[in-house]
Amino acid sequence: MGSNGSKRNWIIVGIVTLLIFGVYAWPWYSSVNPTLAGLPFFYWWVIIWYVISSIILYSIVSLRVKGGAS
Amino acid sequence: MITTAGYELLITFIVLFIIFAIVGFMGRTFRRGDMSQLHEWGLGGRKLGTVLQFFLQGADWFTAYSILAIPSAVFALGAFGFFGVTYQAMVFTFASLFMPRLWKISREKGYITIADYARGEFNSIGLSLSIVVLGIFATLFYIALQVDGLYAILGTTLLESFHILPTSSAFKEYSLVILFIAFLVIAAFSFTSGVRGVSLGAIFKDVLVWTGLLTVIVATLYYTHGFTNLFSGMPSKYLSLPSTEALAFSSSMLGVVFSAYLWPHNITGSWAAQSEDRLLKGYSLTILYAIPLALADVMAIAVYKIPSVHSFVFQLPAASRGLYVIPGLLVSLVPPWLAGLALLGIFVGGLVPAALMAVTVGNMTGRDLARMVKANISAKGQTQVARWAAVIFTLLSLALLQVIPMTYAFQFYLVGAEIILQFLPIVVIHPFFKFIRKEFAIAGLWIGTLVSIFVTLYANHYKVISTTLYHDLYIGFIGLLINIIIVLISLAFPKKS
Repeated sequence: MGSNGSKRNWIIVGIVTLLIFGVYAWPWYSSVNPTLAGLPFFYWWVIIWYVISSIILYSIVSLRVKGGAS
Repeated sequence: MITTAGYELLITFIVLFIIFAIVGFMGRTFRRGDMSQLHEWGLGGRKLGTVLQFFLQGADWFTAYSILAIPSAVFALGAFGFFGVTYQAMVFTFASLFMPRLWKISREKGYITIADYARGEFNSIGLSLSIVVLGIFATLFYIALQVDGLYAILGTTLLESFHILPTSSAFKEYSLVILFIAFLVIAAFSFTSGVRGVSLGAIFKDVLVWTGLLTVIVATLYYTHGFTNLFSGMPSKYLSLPSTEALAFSSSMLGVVFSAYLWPHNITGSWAAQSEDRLLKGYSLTILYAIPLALADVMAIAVYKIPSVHSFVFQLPAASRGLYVIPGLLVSLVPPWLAGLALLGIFVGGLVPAALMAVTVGNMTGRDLARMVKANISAKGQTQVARWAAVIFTLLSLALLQVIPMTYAFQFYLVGAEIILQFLPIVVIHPFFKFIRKEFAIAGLWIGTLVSIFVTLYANHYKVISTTLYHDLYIGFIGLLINIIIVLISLAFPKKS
């Protein structure tokens, strides 16, 4: 894999990192509504993004390891 | 006088602890390696796959203290207390960013510890020694936190079985004896099995903790008839975060996010991975561990809703009440044997990370300190020193807690976490941008440390350290900013190439 490929893959890693930090780092999600099965938004938003973050991070692993972005 | 329920709980607890000890010792024969070599004892031969990485990271990051203290914070403070789980996905995202590169360097050059890495990469014994000293100091008080959690578990167990109140003098005597036995077991299996023993112990612990947390969640929802009832009538700070707390919430989270995988024991666990691929997959899956933990934290609110839980928790003194929230839900809502199982899971949840910390301190002593004293020490000699250092460190940490009151130990821990953050330029920046000169690395580390300590003392008016925020900003970041400015001065003195 050439350095262009690894540069592109590092950009993807950067975007994923910014996305997950964007979701969590500032508590803009601190609202009660909409609730999910009675659970305030604040709590279920945090929990649902564990699953999404986990899937995204898992799915870019082979791209990173094989594509020289690790 | 022991009740039938108390008897059931106690027997489950004891039997499972014995199984835990056996599992830990069995680690010696697990994927057998030459245990006289330090990388075999202290990094498990770098052979851990995705599944074992998941269990090891899960066990060492989600400790007894986090399982008990976050619900305690939610119970007392409301949504603000939830910051302790909100950061979890960011922790592993950040670790994923830099750890593979660090893993690769450690593998290629044969580094066992970050002090080892600092010595090799910066060609500086001074930097290596600084990391050993600061790392061991911080780690020692991290164990203190675990012991605080262990006391709450023993407090619950003895209260349920023998009606011994955690405030009584009898409790102090019994719990000390039990903790001594537990730490002896931990020291013994660290000595014989190293990271292999910790990994097997971690699987055992994670299974019990997951069972326990899921039990708490299901039982609480059953008794409260769902989330709507759980939250109804609660003050608004429990429903969502008040906007005035946003900055404190955010900076408390980020302080943990950037320092989490700078802790020497977490680096040890990560370097034990078999490949970059397994390491990254392990990290991404470990985030899922936060799901049951976060839901269990929400259940802390049920203390106000279920009378039996309320009366259990409120019979305890206000200062330590919070740590009894999860144990209270367990003993009040589920059958005694299941409560015993979950309590033991949380109990070993404090012991497993303590064992990894002991192995890490062992590695640093055997690899780094021993070579400073005796330059030509053999590989076998290093391992011998490391094993004994792990044993001594384990017992020393327990002894220290008998001398230093828990409130002081907690203050040292808060400062320790700020100190660990000062490793960031060396551990995170250096692998990617190799411009830092050793003189500035050392100066940045120590000045960042001293600034953090000074500002922390100032922010607490030179009294008991209860906050690491200064105007809602995490103080470790102030030290880190100065630290980074200092290491950037390296750019003014380009290296000869």
